[in-house]
Amino acid sequence: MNGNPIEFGLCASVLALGCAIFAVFFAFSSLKLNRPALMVSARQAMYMMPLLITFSCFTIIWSFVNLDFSVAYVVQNSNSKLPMIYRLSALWGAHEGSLMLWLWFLVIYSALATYIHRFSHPQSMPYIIITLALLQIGFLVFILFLSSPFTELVPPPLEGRELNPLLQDPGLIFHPPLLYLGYVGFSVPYAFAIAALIRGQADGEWAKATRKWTLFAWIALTSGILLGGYWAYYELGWGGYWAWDAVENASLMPWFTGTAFLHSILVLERRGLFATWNIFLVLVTFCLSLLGTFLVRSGVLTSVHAFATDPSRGVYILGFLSLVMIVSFGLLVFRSNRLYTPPQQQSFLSRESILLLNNIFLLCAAGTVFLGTLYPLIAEVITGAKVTVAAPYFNSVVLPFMIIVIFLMGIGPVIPWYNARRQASAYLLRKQFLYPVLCSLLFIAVGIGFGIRDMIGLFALSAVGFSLCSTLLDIFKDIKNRAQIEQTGKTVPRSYLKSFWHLLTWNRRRYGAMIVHIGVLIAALGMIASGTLNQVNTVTMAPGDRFQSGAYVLTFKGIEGVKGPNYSARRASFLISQQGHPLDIITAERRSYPRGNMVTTEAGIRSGFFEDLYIVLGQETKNDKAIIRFYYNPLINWIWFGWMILVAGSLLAFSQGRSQKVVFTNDGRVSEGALSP
Amino acid sequence: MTPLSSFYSPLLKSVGLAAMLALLFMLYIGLWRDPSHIPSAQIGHMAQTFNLSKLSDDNFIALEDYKGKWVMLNFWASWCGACRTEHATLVQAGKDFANTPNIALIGINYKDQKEKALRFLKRLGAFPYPSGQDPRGRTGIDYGVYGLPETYFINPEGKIFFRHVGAIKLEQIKKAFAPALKGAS
Amino acid sequence: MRFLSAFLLCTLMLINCVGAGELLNEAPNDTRLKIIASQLRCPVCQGESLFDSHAALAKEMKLIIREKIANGVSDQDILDFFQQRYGNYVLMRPAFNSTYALLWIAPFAFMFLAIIIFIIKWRSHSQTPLPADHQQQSPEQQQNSPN
Repeated sequence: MNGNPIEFGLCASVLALGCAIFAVFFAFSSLKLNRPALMVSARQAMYMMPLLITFSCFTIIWSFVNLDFSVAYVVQNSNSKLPMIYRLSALWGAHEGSLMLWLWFLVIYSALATYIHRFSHPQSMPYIIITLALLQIGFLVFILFLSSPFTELVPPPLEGRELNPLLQDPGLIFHPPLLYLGYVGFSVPYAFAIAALIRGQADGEWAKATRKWTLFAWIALTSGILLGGYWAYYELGWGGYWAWDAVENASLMPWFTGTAFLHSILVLERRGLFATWNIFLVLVTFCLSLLGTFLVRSGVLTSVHAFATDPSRGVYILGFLSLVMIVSFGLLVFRSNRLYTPPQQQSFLSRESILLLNNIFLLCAAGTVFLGTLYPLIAEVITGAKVTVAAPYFNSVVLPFMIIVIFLMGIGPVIPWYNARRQASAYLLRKQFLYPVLCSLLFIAVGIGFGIRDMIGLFALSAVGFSLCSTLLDIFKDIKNRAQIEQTGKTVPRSYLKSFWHLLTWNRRRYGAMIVHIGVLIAALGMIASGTLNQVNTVTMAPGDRFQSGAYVLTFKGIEGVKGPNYSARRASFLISQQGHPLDIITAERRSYPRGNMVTTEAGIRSGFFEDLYIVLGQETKNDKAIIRFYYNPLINWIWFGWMILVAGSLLAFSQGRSQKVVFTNDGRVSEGALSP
Repeated sequence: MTPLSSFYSPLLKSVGLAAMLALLFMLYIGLWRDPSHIPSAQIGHMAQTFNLSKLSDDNFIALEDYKGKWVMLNFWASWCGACRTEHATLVQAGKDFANTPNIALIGINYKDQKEKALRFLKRLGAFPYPSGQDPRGRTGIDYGVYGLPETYFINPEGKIFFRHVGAIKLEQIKKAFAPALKGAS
Repeated sequence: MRFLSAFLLCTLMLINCVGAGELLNEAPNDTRLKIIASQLRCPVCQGESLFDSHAALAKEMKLIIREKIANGVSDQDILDFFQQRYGNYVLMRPAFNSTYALLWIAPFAFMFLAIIIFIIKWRSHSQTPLPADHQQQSPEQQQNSPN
């Protein structure tokens, strides 16, 4: 003990463990002794946790900033030449620290949930606190005993190791935290679900309470995944953004089930149906988040992302995961019959049924990704054979499911909820879907015109065309209806604009969702175009040689050697011109990091609205030539634009309070609701 | 009991639980396996022929020179750390089986330079059996080599019957040659 | 560093008198190599295709493919060549054989099963009688409800 800040961090974490145990103890006593007053102590313990863990994380970051090489974790992940910004984010650069990040977010979410719902769910709160605190204990025990970032080295070495050059990038600063905000964010709906199972009550009220937590976690997870794709695109230098790698799949699976939950929760809220199914989806989503954590760290699957492998750590995480799964699904199996659902009449042509179809296909997609990711392991355990399941499989099977979901995106919002007195008739729907169907055919024609011959690509285009038209028509119809109601007598365009604004602000959930759907469709267009119309060409060039990519001519200008803070590089320059007019100079590099003994490529990317020109420098040959790989990616930036729109829409939907107009209760009655947040 | 809850029949629930437990068990087993290990696809198949120039002199060494014998084929290189570990074992095995006429040991110097390989042998001790040069690694690809060291065992019919990845131990060599020794005595 | 300043651009334009270089295209053999190498997996990489990989073994394998292309070997024969030596592991696309049967069938089987169950259950539920009092909403109220 020599007064290192890191030791205080360790103390704080040990205290936090005690705190979490206290929380469980008090919440449990409050239940057993039927003394709600004990919950005050439990809540206070939950509020203490973020303070302690934030302090612990702070001491780790402080050790990085000050290059305190007596801390083993600092030695393994930084050195004196590492730029400051990467020292700040090195906390989550490796296994031990990323677990601390998980825990940090968990305690913050838990405290927030405890605070926000401190009055609104008195009967569920003890169970929620117990669940969250037990999760915290699980992680703390793992961190303190098996993966401590607090271990010290005596005597401290003089220099640290090099952080993996691929991770020395702005993307690393944001991608893991966003992703973890998503994963960990599902722990609150999970805790609510466990409480609901134990109490035997999951209804519209439960749905409303968990809605915002789920939406926030979903926004974070979606953004984390897309940011990861964006980062892979410009950093890894293979011209793509998604490789169906095991760890990527591990983040996609909870995304599918989380999206399914986000949609099925609407049915629970609106009509009180599918209580058990909703709970099942929450449990599955959270367990998949934990499974993802397991897969990354255990060495069970090969992946470019995987952290250093260690079976003993894998055993603990697997044990923890098993416990969570057995308890969760055990509860579900034995208590689901308590979740009373009143008998309801239903029809095929209703929003409920479309939402259920949405769930089916999203789950099929999730299940396929699951099967494909684990198949090599299953095959090896059963037959001993080594097999490869890679992008071609996933693209062939998962994409069609996702495309069907996109079709449903254009059908669901248009079809009304079930109403016995006024059933949706096929005739009316035929009218409504005429234009979308025409639009989908138009999109197919345009795709063929651009040269797309891939069946899945054309199928996807038709879905996007259909849903885009349907969504836009729907919004326009609402604006028109609203404008007619207002009848302000003003000129038509202004009235429309005013109506649109009114709709946006008054019914933020619905229009937020429409905007999210539009964002998804634009991103889908980007994926379709860059997936079917992209070109990759490998050429050996001498200085002065030119290559034509699309409408652009790229002239190779030559290679020079450059030096960076911790690397030396060969940099190639290209002049990009269009129809003889020079536009820009793009450079591509091959970097050597002597300390890490690694070579990375920095692609030269020219991003435009309609396409990306992406250049990768390969090896140089003996006669002053170089092997260059050119990628032409049409519409790839629409993926990121779509993502922005999606986030905007989600935030809009998130901003709506609980009930502003009317509340629709389980049996379809209309009543006024309290204007609570 | 509402109609909806009868959907989740006991059968569905038990199947679900069983599948979950099977998955967890499989993940547990997976922890102890090496995901990067590729089993050989050529076990039971005819070994690919090769005709390489020897490391020690200008002659050639070919697989068919050893037709009818039990052959151990070891891929090694001077740049391979684990090859150093198994080097003494291989030298010993070479000496032990020198007088067994139906057993032959061959080395293949994989993706290496002659001078470096010879220096390696000078430092650690020469193999008591010949090595062929595979500078481009073509022969390695023919056998499905993906990392060093790898050792293949070929029976008198010319089929590969065993492959070991990583540094090999003397007991493993003896075990692989057990049928050869039984036949010999 | 992807965009230089306009000044630098102008300067470079002035000295842009590198001799008339060739306008190049990807060689047709390279295109075939690209197609074949994309269908093979690099045995020593974490899930990369031979085309994307920079590993030494991958480079040698690509050289072999190049030689075979030059010798007129068909795509399928080249794939078979590597499959013989490295097994199914080296193929990027799981084949339609017994090893992978479950993989291809399961997703669609599950989907059909789910849809059939959906139809059956939905049909049985639509026979359930209504609760006694059920208020009507106008279509617009329906459309503009919170989702």
